[in-house]
Amino acid sequence: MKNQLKVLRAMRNWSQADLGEHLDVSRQAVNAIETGKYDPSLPLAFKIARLFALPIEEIFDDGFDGGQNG
Amino acid sequence: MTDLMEVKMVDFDDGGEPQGRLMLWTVIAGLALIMTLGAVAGFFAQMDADGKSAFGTVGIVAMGLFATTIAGLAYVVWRNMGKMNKNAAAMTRRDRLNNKILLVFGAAGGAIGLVLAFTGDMSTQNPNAFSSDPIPAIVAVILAVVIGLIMPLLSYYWHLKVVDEQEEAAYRAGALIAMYAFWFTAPTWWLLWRGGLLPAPDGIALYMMTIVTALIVWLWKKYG
Repeated sequence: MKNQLKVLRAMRNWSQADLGEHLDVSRQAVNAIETGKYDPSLPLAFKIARLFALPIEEIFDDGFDGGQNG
Repeated sequence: MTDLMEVKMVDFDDGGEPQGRLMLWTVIAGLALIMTLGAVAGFFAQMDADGKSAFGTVGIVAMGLFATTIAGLAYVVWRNMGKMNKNAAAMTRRDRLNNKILLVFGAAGGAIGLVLAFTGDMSTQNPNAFSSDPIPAIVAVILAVVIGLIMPLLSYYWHLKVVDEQEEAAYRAGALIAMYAFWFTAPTWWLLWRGGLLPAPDGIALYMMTIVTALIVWLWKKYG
């Protein structure tokens, strides 16, 4: 799943380890989420959303376009 | 959305060697080191059984080759561990604890392998950790306590305090594929044995295959 995590992290000048500490996950988990290799659980996605004070759908993009093209 | 080029990125993965690769090389070199030590014991046990001196030409050349291999592998372990420690600042609390516990597991596994290799019946010239040769009862009891009691407790602590959801997912994938590997390999081997095409199924070989499969998938999913 595409996401804006890397951008949001960069805006705060945080390393992956810094973000990992904020979310209480490993640096590797942050890297895997940023690169789209791992989709976070719903609780972790909410935690990320709360941390950046944004709605989940502004951080994560599941590619659903509202069914307008289907 | 902000252009990535406008902000200063502090990104461990962009600046250094990925931690997973360092860990992988450390594990591979460590295992190779243990196997080489087993091979040294086997080689010299065989020479002794053949009545040849370890200080003859063959023995000295073999000692030189083994010493070079052991030194090379030890250097790879040392260098990669040094790099991992250097990257410690770019790790979270979980990462650091994870590395420490993995090193304890690795050291314990290596020690167990060495004890098994060197306490087996050397007269059979089969000093490897996975043979079924008899070992002294006290060694068996000590290792059984370590593997059957201490390691599970350490594993429980690891999963409770260290493993996050991404690693848990990697573990689940490793366990699933390893289970399938066991499910299909064991009966295939058993049937081929019954057909007289293979030797009898070996429980330890199947165990090792299952563990190695889980380990490879876990590393791939966690660090790949």
